[in-house]
Amino acid sequence: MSRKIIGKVLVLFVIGIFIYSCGGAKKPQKIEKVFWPLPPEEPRILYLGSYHGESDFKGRSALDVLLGEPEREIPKNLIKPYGVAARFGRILAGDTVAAVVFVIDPKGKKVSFIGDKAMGKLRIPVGIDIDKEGKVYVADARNQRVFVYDLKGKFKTAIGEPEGPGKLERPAGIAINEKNQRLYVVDVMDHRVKVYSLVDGKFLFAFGKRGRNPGEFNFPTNIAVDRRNGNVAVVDTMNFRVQIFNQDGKFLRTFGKLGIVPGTFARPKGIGIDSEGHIYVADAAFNNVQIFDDKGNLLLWIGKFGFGPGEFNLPAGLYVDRADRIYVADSMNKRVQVFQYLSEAWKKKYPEKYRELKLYKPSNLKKTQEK
Amino acid sequence: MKRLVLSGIIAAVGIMTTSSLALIDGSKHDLSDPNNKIRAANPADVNNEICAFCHTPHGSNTDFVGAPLWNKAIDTTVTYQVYGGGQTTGGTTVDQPGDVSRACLSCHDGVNAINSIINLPGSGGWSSTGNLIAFTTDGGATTIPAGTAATMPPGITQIGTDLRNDHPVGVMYRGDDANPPASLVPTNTALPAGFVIAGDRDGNPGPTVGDLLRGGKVECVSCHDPHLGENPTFLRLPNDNSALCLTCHAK
Amino acid sequence: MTAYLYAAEDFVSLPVEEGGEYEKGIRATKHNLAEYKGKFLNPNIAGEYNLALCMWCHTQNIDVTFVDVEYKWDPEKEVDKFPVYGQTKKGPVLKSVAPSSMVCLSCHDGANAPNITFGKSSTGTSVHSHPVFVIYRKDRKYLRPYNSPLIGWEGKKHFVYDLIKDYNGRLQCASCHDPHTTNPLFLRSKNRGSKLCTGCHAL
Repeated sequence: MSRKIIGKVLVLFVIGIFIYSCGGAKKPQKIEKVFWPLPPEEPRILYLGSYHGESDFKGRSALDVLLGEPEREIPKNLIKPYGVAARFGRILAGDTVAAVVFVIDPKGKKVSFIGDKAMGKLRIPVGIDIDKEGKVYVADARNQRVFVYDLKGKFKTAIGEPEGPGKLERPAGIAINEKNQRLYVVDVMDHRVKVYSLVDGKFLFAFGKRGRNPGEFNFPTNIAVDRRNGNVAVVDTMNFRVQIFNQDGKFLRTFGKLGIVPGTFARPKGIGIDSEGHIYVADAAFNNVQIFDDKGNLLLWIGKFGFGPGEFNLPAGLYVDRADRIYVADSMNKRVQVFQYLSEAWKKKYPEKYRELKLYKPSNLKKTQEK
Repeated sequence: MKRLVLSGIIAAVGIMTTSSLALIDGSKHDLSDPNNKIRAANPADVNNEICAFCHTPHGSNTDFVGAPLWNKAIDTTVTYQVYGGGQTTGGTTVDQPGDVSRACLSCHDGVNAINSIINLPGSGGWSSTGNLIAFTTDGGATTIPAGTAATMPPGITQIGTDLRNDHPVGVMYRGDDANPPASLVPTNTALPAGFVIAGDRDGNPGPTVGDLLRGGKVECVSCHDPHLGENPTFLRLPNDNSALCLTCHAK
Repeated sequence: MTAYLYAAEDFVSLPVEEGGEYEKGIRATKHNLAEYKGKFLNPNIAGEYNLALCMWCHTQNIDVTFVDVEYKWDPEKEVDKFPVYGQTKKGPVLKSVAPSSMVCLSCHDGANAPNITFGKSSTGTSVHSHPVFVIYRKDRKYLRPYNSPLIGWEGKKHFVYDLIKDYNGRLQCASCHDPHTTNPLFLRSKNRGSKLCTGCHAL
């Protein structure tokens, strides 16, 4: 008699688990720690997580699944993200297909949108950055302007002149320098970096032109500011190199060339610089991120083609925030991946986590090693 | 000599296969055909293409899902006066036409522009509000210039916004009811031979009446296929002896 | 194309074919990313060679002799060439997306070149772009059979089957486009009268 009851309870239990797992909101799963390089080397980059859009936070409760409630509304997710930026606990991801910027708030568990209203409607958002007042700058490649909004999505102004040297033919990557109040915009079709004032949006100067020599570009795409000294690093995509200039556009040095070996580039796109001056370059042909020091020496590369953590499918934009978190727009995987650079400051702030990594033994060391 | 004969045979086969299956080419829906009364004023504007008036392989109208890769700007807020004032004589509610019927009505309602093309053939030429190309509705006697909307002229092809005098669309097909109105046959009734249909949508094996419905409703495409130029009114089955009507109405 | 088998250093000694079949094509199109004011912006090879036009996409065949590469953060790590565009040493990872399509998409992202996306709407209708990476269903009502001839298509495509036979039966960018051709929009066949569309669609 009691056996039958236990049996029924067990069956109900199993059914319950099944229903729960069927439609429940995604709960964080226990996964292997993903970080590079593997022990015994000093760990440097740690995978934190991925964001897709509203479905990261919305889901159907177990009760809804049991009652057979249809999906209330389809969650809005990223389709093809390119530009990415982060500050104030928000992750901004520009989607070139949905033509909006997703503002993902992991703490508040919600997603809002910028650039979908009539005022400041985006066509092809590419580069994104955000200043200390929370003003969001989005380069629109089709509209030939950099639009400025507040975090809630209210349109403020547009930067870029209709004629003359301040005209943007096709703006792509952008970067802000708070100290000298400048906005650096890469103009792909004009092969120049154009600099505007953050104070009044006026055009200040431009540097570069089309060519092969140092200081010249061939379809440059992205740019990052070294927050220590104001230098800018420009991804000179179709010259397959990264060039470094000072804040006034004076050429300092260059590194990289076309190739398929570590230290060379085939389709370099997003770039970011952390608080210790390390340069991260995403390459869409290799589907990885290569890491250099500010002199251009190769430190490491992470990632390969795939869909899992630390794997990419046509990575595009890249951004390093002030806490040394690295955001990569994994465009064909429809997500933004977040990594942490384990700086000295991070190691001091999280000594326990650091210890965990140093002592970590992956369950299958041979398998997780990269080829 | 042999080579010549061989190539001649191949060419002949090629022409045969392409022409026997060229349905929309040369029909009333071929808006590049200079023989049509309602057509592009200068077919060279659209590279003499036929498909481009409704479809485009890249850069389609993503707001409209009534037809795949739609290439026209379409006002989906147009409210139509529906058949029977909202109800058929059999008591079925008639809703606004579904998106798939709005695709047809975007030319035939006399309100939306026929000459609106979002993505013109060739490089560039993309406009989210639709490029209005030079058009004529009287065989070239007068030309509606580029930039001006050309709507369906009055006549039998102008279905208009008053659908009260047209077979109902946007209406649930109630052939599976216990006492179906209008002598409708069940959805699993096989379609007669020669009925042109692509794809099995309703889950009943083989071509059945259910495959003609969209979301369970009758729409324009239930009886018409806009590509089927072989039939003068683009009917899926010639209506000899009212065979098309009798497919659904067992009178 | 035998050129692909040689490393970049050997390109130097290959005679440059004046008006070679592919070179002539790209030079006059928007895919010529190397030429500026009569000179080639040549990333790797000393001197000016027409083959510089090829490197942007045919990256796999670049010279791989590398000097002294070491990862400062992981000195023990093996140094090897990167697999490109979704491939591994054993071949492409995905059955549905061919590496050649990944090459197209790596530039057609909105910034380098006009944006291309594909997919279905929530109701299942195709939006954005013609369906791609899907199996060509030859038994569909309005699609021509595999042996339907294609007249005048570039790249030795004589039958519908030629467009998909190298790609597990699935449509790719290269089914309709040939990045080397001088046809407008890099189409394999000029689409006058919608002849490209009707090559596969029996409408």
